[in-house]
Amino acid sequence: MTIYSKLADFASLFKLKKAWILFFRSFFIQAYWNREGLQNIGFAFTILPFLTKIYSKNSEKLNAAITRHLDYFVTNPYLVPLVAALVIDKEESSLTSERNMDKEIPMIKKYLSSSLAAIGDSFIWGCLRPFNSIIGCMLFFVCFKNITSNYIVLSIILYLLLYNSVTLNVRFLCGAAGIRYKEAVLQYLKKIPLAKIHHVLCLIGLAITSFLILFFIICNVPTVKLKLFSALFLILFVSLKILEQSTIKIFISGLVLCVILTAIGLL
Amino acid sequence: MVEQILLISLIGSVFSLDVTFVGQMLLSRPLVLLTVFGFCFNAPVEGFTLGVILELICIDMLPLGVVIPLDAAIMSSITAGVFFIGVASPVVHNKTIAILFAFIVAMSFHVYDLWFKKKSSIFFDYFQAIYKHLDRAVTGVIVGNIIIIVIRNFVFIALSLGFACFLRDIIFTFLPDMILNGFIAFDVFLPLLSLVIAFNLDKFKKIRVW
Repeated sequence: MTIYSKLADFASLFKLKKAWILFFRSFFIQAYWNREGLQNIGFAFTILPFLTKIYSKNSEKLNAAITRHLDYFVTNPYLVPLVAALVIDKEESSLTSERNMDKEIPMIKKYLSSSLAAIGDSFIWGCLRPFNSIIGCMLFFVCFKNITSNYIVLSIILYLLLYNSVTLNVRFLCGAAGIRYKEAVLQYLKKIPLAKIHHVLCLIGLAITSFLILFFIICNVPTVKLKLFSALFLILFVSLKILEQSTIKIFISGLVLCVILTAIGLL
Repeated sequence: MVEQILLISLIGSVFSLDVTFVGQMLLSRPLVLLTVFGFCFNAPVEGFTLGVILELICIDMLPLGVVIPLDAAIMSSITAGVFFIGVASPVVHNKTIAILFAFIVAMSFHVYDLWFKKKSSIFFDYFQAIYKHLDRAVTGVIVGNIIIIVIRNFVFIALSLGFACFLRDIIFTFLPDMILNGFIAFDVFLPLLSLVIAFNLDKFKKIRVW
């Protein structure tokens, strides 16, 4: 395939009406998050229009199909359209197939959801979101003394754009690719070097936070005395983090030390 | 003061849908929500500052697997309320007190939310009893739960804020000056704490729920 035909094929994914339905419905995957089934009701809601269309002539079969999707289900919310697209494909083929889908569909859901949850959670929650937070907050530390409304609006736009440009595309393209290429899409997922991207983003995040810590102490803390105490507090916070203390404990420890230092007149 | 509490409760309860229930597009994150509150109270720089500090403090509170972290929207709403509402003296603009209250209220909300999620399965049974067809029951429970969550969060934030502001005023009235000065001095080191938490996440890749 030439690059133009690949681009045309990619662009045609955005014309799939089913993909858009899945995309918008997947926003409600956790709208009824409950302890028994987790995302079960949300998943049933996501594929409901397709089930209604497949079993439109038989309300008993429709009820049975919806009941089949009320069992325990949990995965990364951004990758739900992919699971939904493959499940819808199996439901459609159940009309013509003689195989019993009552066991096959839940099994497909179970294996897909757990593997996609591992991929999505480690990359999107564990890497992209923290990296995005650091980028969004970076301008605050760099322009600490001269922050204006323009910088604030720029930071917020950068923060939302960086994260949502990735997650909205992932949400849509997973569903669209699942509808177009069905199970073959899982082979494409394996080729994406998520571990390398994770490693690179962590290194960049580490470099930025290290630079911001030094920049904040050297340039933004006003007096030499406060700079020295900032270094002291930095050592305290880093030590407590290395000892795996929780955020609230570190906060309280820092606050108590600050109160003591202020009370004895050092700060 | 009542109008300000209701305004923060309304914005906080609507944006809190983005935490878990609808979207997950980072609209409920402290960086966005506290900046919005800052613009509402005509103090965008203070709102953004609070947002940055709380965003980085909460950077390692991640919803991995079935873990439910502290609600960022509730924390942001309480922080904004304690920082901005009913403030007469400039000394009372204290980020440390605001974030401390945010943690305490968010932890209380976490306990309540876990209980609520355990009991909320009765909503679906109720909708199933009303609607004979499961497709209508599923749609009904999704819409109904969203409305219930907004009302629940609105009431929780409004009541907590009222109590928190009352407690804050008592603290600032009866707390000895030397302790109060310590709280004010700690404001300088809060950005440093938030950066250390972000550094720790990237360096050691260890997630600490709270």
